[in-house]
Amino acid sequence: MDIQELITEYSDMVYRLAYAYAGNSFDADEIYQEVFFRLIRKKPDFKGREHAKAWLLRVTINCAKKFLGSSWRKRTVPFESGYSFTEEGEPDLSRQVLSEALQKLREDERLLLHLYYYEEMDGPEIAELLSRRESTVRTQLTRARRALKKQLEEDGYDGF
Amino acid sequence: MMDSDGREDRIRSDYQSLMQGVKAPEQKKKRILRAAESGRAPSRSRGRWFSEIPSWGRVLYAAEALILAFLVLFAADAVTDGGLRRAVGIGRHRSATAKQPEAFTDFVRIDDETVLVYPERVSEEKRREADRAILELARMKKENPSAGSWTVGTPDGSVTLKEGEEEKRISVGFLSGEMLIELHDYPYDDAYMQVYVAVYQRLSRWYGNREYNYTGYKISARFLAEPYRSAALQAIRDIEDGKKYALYDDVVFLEDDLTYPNYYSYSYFQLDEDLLPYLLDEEGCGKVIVPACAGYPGTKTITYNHFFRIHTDHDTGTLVRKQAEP
Repeated sequence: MDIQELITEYSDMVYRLAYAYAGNSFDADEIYQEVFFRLIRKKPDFKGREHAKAWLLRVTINCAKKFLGSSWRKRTVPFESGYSFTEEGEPDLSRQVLSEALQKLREDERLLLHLYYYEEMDGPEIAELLSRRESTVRTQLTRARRALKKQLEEDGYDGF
Repeated sequence: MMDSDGREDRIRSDYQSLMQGVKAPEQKKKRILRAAESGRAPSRSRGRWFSEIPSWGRVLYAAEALILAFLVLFAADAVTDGGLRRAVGIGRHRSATAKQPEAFTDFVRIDDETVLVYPERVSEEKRREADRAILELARMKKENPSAGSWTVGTPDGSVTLKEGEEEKRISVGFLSGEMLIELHDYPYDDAYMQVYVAVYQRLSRWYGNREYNYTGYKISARFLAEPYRSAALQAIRDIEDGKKYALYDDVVFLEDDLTYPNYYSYSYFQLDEDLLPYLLDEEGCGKVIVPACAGYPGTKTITYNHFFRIHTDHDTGTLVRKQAEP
C-alpha cells in the first residue's frame, strides 16, 4: 500500500480516534494532521493492512497524548466543547445525551470506549495496542463502561 | 427498562452512529495528500529550516539566542532603572499594595479529580516528623483507646495531639504526601480512623480558605460542569507535570503567569474586569475555573491562561457557588 492509499483509507479512522480522545475538533484536527505527517516522514515498511492499521492507531494515541500534554495545548482551552456532527440534520436525542455523557468522561476512558465500541476490539487486542496488561485493560474497560452507564442514567438516556 | 445486554447493544449502536458522523476534514486531508505527494511533511514543532540544522548547531543556536535575549533585557532594564519591569504592569494595577500570591511547589494527589497543594517552605524533614507523630498517635489509640487526644480547629489549621502531659501540635500541611493519601484511603482501623477523621475534618475546613494558604489548599474538579471541569483537570495535570503555580485569593496561577512580571495584577484584574461576564452560569453564579483570554498591554500578543476560582464552604469542605463579583 502506498502512503496516499493509506491516507485515503484510514483518514476517518484516525480522525475519529483523535476526536474521541480529545473531545473536540480543534485538537482532533491537529492530532490527525500530525499522525499522517509522521507517516510521510517515517515511511514505515508495513507488512499488510492490519499492520498499517495498528501502527496508525498506536501513533494516533501517542500523538494525542503528546499533543494534549504539550505546553502549547496547556495554555489554550478550546472554545468548542462536546461532540459535533458532520452528518446532515441534528443527531437524535439519545445520541446527543450519549455525546454529552462521553464528554464528561476522562480522555483515557473515552479512548478505551472508542476502541471497544467503535473499532470493536476486545480486551487482548486493546491491551496489545496500548502495551498494557490484559487484566489492567479489562478492569479499566469495565470501569469506563460503568462510568459511561452511570452518566447516561443520570442524563436520562433513552431506555435507561 | 432495558436489560443489561440491551443497554450495551444500544450504547454500541448509538456510539457507532455518533462516530459515523465524525469525518476527517477534507481540507486537511488534501493538505496531507499534497504533502505525501511531495514526500515532505512539515514538523509541527519546528520549522523545516530548523530541522535541517544539525543537533549540535541547534544547541549553539539556542544558547546564543538565550544569552542575547538576557543581555538585551538586562541592558534595557538597566537603562530605564528598572522601568522595563515596571512598564509591563502599568495600567493594570488596581492597588499598589496588592498582595503577592503565595508560591506553592508541592502537591499531593487525593484522587483523579483533586490535588492538595503545599508551600515550598515546609521541609521534608518537618513532614516526616509530622507523619511519625500521627502514626504514633494512631498506634497509641489502638493500644489504649482512652489514651491521648487531639483537637482540631485551631486557627493556624493545626491538629493538637496530646499524650498525658505532652502536647504536640502538628499542622496537617506538614504531613507528607504518602501520609495524606494513607489517611485518605484508610478508614477501617478504628484508631487510625479517629485520627483520620480529625485530620480530615481539619483539611476539609481549609478547602478554599484563603487564610490557610500556608498549610494546604485543595484544587478540585469535582462538582464542576464542562468546560470548566476539563480545564480544572487540565490544570491539575499541569501541576502534576511540574508546572509551577501560586495562589492568590481564590485564583490559581500557573507557570506562565508566574514568569510574567506583575503577573498577579495582570492576571487577576484582567480576570475581574474582562472575564467575569463570561463566567456566569445559568443561575448567575460564578464559575470555579475560567479559561482566560488576556491581552498584554502595549503589544498585540494574546495569551491564554488557566485560572481557578474556588469557593468552598469552610465548615463542610464542600464546594459552594458564590455570586460573581461585579
